[in-house]
Amino acid sequence: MKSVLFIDDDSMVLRALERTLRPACKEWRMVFALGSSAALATLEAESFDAVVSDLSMPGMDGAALLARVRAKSPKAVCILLSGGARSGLTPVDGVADEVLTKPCGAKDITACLMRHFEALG
Amino acid sequence: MDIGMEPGNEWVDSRYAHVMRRLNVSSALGALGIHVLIALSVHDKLRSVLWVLGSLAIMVPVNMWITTVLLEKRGVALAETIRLAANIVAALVVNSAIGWPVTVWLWLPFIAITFDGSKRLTNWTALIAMCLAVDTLALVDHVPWIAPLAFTALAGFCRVIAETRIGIARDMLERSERQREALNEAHTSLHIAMASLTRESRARERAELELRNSQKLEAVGRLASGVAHEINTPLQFVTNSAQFVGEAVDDLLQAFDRVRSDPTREGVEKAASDIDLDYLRTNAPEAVGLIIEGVNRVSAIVASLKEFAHPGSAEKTEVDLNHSIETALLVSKHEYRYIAEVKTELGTLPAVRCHPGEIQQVLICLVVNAAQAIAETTANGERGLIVVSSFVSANDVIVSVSDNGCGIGESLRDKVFEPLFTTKLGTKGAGQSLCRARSIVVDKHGGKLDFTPRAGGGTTFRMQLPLSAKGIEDKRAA
Repeated sequence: MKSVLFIDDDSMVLRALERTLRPACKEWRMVFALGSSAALATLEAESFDAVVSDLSMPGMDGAALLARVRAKSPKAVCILLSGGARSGLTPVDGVADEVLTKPCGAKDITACLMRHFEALG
Repeated sequence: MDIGMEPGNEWVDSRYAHVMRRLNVSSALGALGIHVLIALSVHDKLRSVLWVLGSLAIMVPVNMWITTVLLEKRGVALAETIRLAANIVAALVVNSAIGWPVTVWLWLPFIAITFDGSKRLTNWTALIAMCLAVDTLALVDHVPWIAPLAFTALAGFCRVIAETRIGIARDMLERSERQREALNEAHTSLHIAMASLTRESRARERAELELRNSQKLEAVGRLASGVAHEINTPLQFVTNSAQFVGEAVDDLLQAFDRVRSDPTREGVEKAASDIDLDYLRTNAPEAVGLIIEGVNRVSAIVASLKEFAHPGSAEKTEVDLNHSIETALLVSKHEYRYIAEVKTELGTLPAVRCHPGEIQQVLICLVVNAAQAIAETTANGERGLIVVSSFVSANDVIVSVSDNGCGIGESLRDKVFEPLFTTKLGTKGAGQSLCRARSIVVDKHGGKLDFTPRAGGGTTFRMQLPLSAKGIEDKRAA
């Protein structure tokens, strides 16, 4: 079973994601972390097959967080969820495998994750 | 003596020639006068005097013509030769006509002080040779020795006077020419300086205009991306929640259909557990709550944006500044939310007459500057504090924005309101120009915008706007 960590600094975003992604919980183990410091603590404790992170957050932002994930587990799928504050961000920037733009439906997120998992085999 | 001129100095040449012409005439007349007086007093011969005068009356213009016109046309050598010959012939004619050898001497000084063109005197050697020749001739001719001696001395004397005068004239001309050149140079460099000043001031005006435009664009761009974030975050959970609610409704409808076809107790229980009814019971209302919350957040932002973007009407309107402050804080939230906590201490204010859009730009500028000052000092997600307060003081409304950021260094305090001032050379740029803010407050509203360093670090900016007569009345009524 694949494990996925979702990170956002807005609890409402996390709650809504959790609900809408509920059907996927049969296939994936999903963990939701509120803010980057909570995410760092979770990442210390365990590793994940994929990390989906918000971009703008207080303290460490999504890009820095994903860079750290990359360093720790190079195979992890890293997805950035951008609020549109930094336009023109692309996966080429190196930190993320893919950049999704808010608002982003559950289907887009699951499809994106599936695609990357399949690519990894 | 050669006091020749440098070639090409045309102005000096022409002035010099002018002075020389006058010198020629006056010297010649002077010499003539002296000779006539001597002749009259010594010999008392009227006929001879008339002859001499007549010959001089002819020969002076002839000499003048030769030294000016002919010399220019035919060259020095020929002109001088002709002149000498003409003078000797004239002397001989007069001499033989009146049988008075004194007249020969008259021509000595005359020849001595005439000129080689108007540029130099005939040289001393030539003069001495000529005098010697004439003197010898005179002595051989039994003229008493005193006469040639007197006229030779007179010739030398005239010659010295003429040279001195030429020297003085030339010196003066050179001096005035030097002054003229210096003036010309000063004039030219003044012209150049003025042209470059004009160019510079034009370039500066252009740069300032471009800067102001780019600042406006940058401010709009920053605001747009910040606002996009503020809107997209609620849209994210609204989208997800709506999807969830939609699926929940589908599930419930399906369950309802199944219950209708199998209304037994077991059927109902099975349908309820299949759709996880207990989960839906708590989560569906919560999801709807999120949708409403998200929509409220978005509409609040859109409302304040609409207010902010309202094209500044030419007329001032009565504005609730506290409301403007709240709007400015909402619109610029993205700039400070991760950097600082914002506390507001808003007093009761009468309405203030102002251009609301512009005053909001000032407020946003102050808030963004405060946030940037805090961002300079804090790290690791530590948050600073921005305090925005409003109150009435005498006949003014005062809004102050305090931060506990990096403060403004002593050396920069005078420059804060200058057009090009910025401490940030990176992407954050000079987007929020305090200069523009000051111009809005001071020039358009007759208010004041200043700042004081805050005790314990940071800065407090104060915007002071005068109350209108109506505002003062409202204040009294309250």
